[in-house]
Parts: sequence; C-alpha cells; structure tokens
Amino acid sequence: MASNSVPESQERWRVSQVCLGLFILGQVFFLAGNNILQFIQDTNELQDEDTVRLVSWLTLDLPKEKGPFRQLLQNLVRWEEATGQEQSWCLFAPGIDERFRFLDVEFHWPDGRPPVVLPSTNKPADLGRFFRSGQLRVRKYEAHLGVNYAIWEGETLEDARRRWRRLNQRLTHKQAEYLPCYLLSRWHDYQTQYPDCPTPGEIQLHVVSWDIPPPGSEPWFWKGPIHMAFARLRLNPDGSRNGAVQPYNPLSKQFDDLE
Amino acid sequence: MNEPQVVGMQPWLPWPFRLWRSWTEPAPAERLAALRIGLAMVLLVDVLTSYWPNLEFFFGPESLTRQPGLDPFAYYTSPPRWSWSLLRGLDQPNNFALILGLWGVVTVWALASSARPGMAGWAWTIATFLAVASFWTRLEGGDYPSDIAWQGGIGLGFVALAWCLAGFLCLWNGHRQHRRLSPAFLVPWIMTTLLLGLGIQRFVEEQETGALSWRLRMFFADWDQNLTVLRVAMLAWLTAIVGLLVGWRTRLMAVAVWVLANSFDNLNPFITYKGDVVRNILLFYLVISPCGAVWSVDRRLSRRPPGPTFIYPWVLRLIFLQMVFMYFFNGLYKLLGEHWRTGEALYFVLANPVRSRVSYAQFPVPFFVLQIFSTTVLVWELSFPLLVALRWTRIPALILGVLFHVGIGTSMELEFFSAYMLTMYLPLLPWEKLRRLDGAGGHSAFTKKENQIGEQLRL
Repeated sequence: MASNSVPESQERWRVSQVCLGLFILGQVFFLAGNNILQFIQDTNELQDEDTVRLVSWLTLDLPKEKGPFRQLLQNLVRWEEATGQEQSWCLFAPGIDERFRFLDVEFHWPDGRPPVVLPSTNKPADLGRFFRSGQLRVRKYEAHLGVNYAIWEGETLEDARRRWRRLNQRLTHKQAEYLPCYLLSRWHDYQTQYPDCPTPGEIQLHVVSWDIPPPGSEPWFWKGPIHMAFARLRLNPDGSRNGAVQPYNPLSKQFDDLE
Repeated sequence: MNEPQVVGMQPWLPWPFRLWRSWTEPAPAERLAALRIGLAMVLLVDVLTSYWPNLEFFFGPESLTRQPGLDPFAYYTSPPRWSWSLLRGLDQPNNFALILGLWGVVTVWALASSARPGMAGWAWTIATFLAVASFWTRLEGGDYPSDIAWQGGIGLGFVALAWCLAGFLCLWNGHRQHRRLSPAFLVPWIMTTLLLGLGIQRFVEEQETGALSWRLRMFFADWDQNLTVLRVAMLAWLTAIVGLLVGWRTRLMAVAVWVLANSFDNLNPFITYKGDVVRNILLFYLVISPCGAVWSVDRRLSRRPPGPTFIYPWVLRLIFLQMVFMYFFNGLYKLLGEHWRTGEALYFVLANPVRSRVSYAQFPVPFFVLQIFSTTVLVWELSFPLLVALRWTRIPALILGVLFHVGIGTSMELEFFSAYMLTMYLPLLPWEKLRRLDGAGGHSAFTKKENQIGEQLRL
C-alpha cells in the first residue's frame, strides 16, 4: 500500500495515476450513461403511450433498436456485468401488483395413496396473522413461477378458463427449464426428511391467487382465493424426469402437452 | 505532533474535477474503513444465515440452480453476457476470457514492476497456471472441433509462449536489479518449464494414440456440480470475509470476497436481490481502494509511523454518486407508475402478504398515512440529488434516507437489503473523531495543509 506524507502539487503524473484518473472518469460516465440510457429504453416498453411519446420527444428519440446509443448502452451493460455493478434502479416501480400468489407443490403417487401437499415456505399458515423473517431468496425464485389468476371485470368463468389455458401454455413453455428445478428440489428436500418415501409419479405445482382489495374496503380482507393447478412434472420410478413439464388445462381439467 | 499521511495513489483528474475540493482533498481513511467493517459484518451474517444453511438447496447438482440434464441459468455466465462465475469451471468461455485478461494484466504488471517483484512473481505464477489450465481444458470441449494435432499444437504453443515469457521476465527483472536472474521470477519459470514438459509429453501421447489424453475437465470444469467444492468455496468466502472485517491482507481478502460473491450470485440470478447488487457494488469499490489503511491488522503490522491517515477521496465520491443515481432513478421509475402518483403504492406493498413482514389485517395502517409516506418517498427520491447538493438540506435528506431504510426493513421482508443500503451511509459519518481514542490527533494541522494543496490545485 503506497503511503506518502501530505501530497504536494505534481508537475509530472505517472502513467498509473493517469490510468486511475481515466478509470474514475469512466466510472462516472458509466453510472450516468447506463442509468439514463436504460431508463429511456425502459420507457419505450411502457403501455402508457402518452408517456412513451413524451419521453421519446424529450430524449430526441435516442433509444432506437439500432444505432450508436443502443450500442453504447450494450457496451455499458457489458462493463456492468463484468464488474458486478448491476444498475436498473426500479424498486417497486413503475407498477405494483394488486394481486399475489403462493405456490403449493403436490406429490402424487400412481398407487392411489393420498397426495402430499407442500405449501411454499413463504406461505403463512394464517393470512390474517403472521410474522415473516428470512426466506427472501426462495421467494425471489418463486416469483418467477406460476401466474396470478384473476377473473376480469365482465368476464365469465368460462372465458377466464379459456384465457387461463392459453396463459398456462405460454408460461409453462417459458418456465420449462427452471420450473422442474424447483419441483425436483422440493422433492429432494422432502425425500431428505422422509428417506423411505417412494418416488412420486408426478409433482404438481398449484397456485393460490388472491386480490388485494382497494384501500378503504369494508370489511377489509383479501379477495379469493383462486386455487388452481399450473403444471406438472412426471417422474420415472428411479426419480428421473419422464418428459417435459405439462401445463394444466382448466377447461378439460387435465394436463396437456406443450404446444 | 504526528505527521498526517495519505495512503493510496493520487489520481490525475481532468477539469472540472480537479477544481472540486471534494474530489481532490484527502478524506479521513476511517470513513472507508467504516464502510469495510460494516459491509463485512452484514455479509458475514448474510452468508451464515441465508447462503450456508441452504447451500445444497440453492446450488449443486440437484438444486434450484441445476438438475440432471437441466441447466437453465447457464446463459447468465455465457456470451454475449460478460457475467462470470468461477464456480462454473475454467472451461466456461467467460471465465476463459476473464482469466486470459487477468493473465495479460498481470504480465504487464510483472514487466513494469520493480518495487515489489516478489508479489508480481507469485501473482504471475497463479495467473499463468490458471491461464494454461483454462486453455487446455477449453480445448477439450466441443467448441473447437478440429484434428488432434492442431488441437494439441495450440495448447502446447500457448504453454511454450508462457515459458518464453517467464524466461524473459526472469532475465528482464534480474537485469533491472543488476543481477543475472531475478529470484522472484525463478518460481514462475520453473513452473512453466514443468508445464511445458507436461505439454510435450501430452502432445506426443496424443499424436501416438490419435485421441486426447490426460483429460482435465474432471478437475477444472463444473465445480458447481461438486458439493465438496461448493462447501470449500463457501468456507473460503467466510474466511475472506473475516479477513476483510479485521483488515488482514485487506486487498487480497477484498478481491477474494468480491470474486466469491459474484461467483455464487451469478450461478443463479433468480435467488439474488437488490441487496446483493448493492453489496457487490460496494465490494468492487473496496477491491480498488486502500480500505485497510486504518482500523486493520495491516495497519498494526505496517511500519508507517503513527498519525492521522487520509485517503484520496475519489472512491468515497464514486460511492456517493452511485447512491445519488440509485435514489434518483428509483424516483423516476416510480413517477411512471400510477400507484405512486396517486399515493396508493405503499398500501399495495404493505397489504401484500408475500412481501410484508406482518399481516396488514393485523396491523392496518390508515390509508392516509400510507399516502403521505408514498408521496414523501417519491418526492425525496426524485429530489435527492438536489437535496444533497445543498448544504442546509443535506443532513435532513440523509436522515430521511436512514429512516426510510429502517422503515422498509421493519415493515417488509427484504432480508439484508436495508442493512446493505445503510452501510452506504457509513462513510458519511465523521468516524475520524474516534481518533482521539487512540491518541493520534493532528487533524487540524493537516486540514490547514490540505487546504493549501486545494488552493494550489484550483490555481
């Protein structure tokens, strides 16, 4: 570690000092450039067309699909990735969910024994009374699984089921790689506690969706739940996967193959 | 009176930075040390309570990260992304690029280094070994399908290059020290000679058999699939955190903590959260700064005379700048959300049992109170750059920030997010006042002198 007494003004700078100065300038540029360009790019994906137009006008329509600014942002993102300085500061923004969901995992055996239901470790036993501590990382993973089910205003249950079928197909396809990791991990965890338990024939993911009532509702409590299967993973007797995950079809009440 | 000292390298700064006293005048080293200690303490608890107990559930061959035949997060540490995780093994393209880059940098350092050739020699030995191992392991993969002679020839060529370079370094550094050979670079030269011998033997065998011999993938690939390696890495991480906390070989420990933090986090991006991001950013700054200048074992062991210690302030300013961007852009994104504009945001956050620490049905905070809080957060975040730029609003703005993090940490389950964020506030406190405790003193005299330097720089 270099140590000097009080620094005097320097007439000649060493190469290493100039390099350090350039690095500092680069960091300042990175922080400003990455955050600004990322923000401009993200606003393009908003659904509010007026906001998109306004930001586009204010920023001279910089964030094109291609072009120097797009390229610059990509390069800044590469530096962000290499040094672990992820930016994108949009905590609880712009939108906030008015719904939430908990996941249940169910083990089903072909010999007809009753299924075992494993609720999410984040699911409180009583929604009206709980204290939560820890398990944020598992919750973050679970946030990528399943979907919030809701019946839209003016929508019949039959229409909702048709929409959920399409939703399950699309999202199971998207989650086809990491959903089995979650289901199998939950099974391995269970198996560690009950080593004599035979391998189930299938593991199902069920979603329990709730709506948060508007502020000031009386009496106040969450609306729901809508409890529905989302997908399943079939297993061979040796514990290996038997095919891909299958989405649940709320119309036929069966699991379909991925389309 | 003890002479004040400045630790670290003074950067050359262009206009307008060189005119700003806040970027040029040395700052008390205790402020950076406080950040180091605070961050290490939070990270130690984080690893012991959230990573270590869930190691097999989060990582490993049958975990949330990977299962037999499934590797959903491989993309995260593969091109075109530049994220990396050493635990993925030396054959991964991003690790290969990282190691070759590191080897290049250490080679330049070794060529230029005359002050501490011993350190450069060891660094070059390790970097070269990693580069050769990565090169050879990578050639075994399917990315380079070619005939065996060409494949083996490239691997042998690389180690031959390293051997030549080691010999040159040995002669060059010896010449600079007025000797025939440099003792500091004898070890790397011997190591590369052995590697070259192994390479020749391997090459000859491969030409005779027509197949790759001495497969290295089992040693250098897919470390994250081996629970023993993961446990050892976790123990190394814990050891390095303790080293960083007490300031023993601080720079090396900071590098180890940063590398392992990124290596674990990048294995599975689905289990990381913004608290981890804040922590990794702060660790990056600790790696590149003299964070062990005071309040450290290194300081106790150093031969520097006692006295007040200062650092060049650029690292503290960059961290503060990061904080400003963080809050301001959070505010901008919030402004785009309808819930934030109507003041309903915190209601929907706290009434969501997935996020809240306690049930909203049990503790229903009046809606108008949450509206006031939501609007306050939005206005505070958006105006944060202005509030901290003005002297008379700076302290109230920062106090509000601390209260905000204590508030969300209490009411929501965000694990260590609030704690990591609060460590960013540590360098803003006047820790140098604790100098009186170890009788260092001398602060006022230094201030006078550093003001003179500031004046000179402004001219």
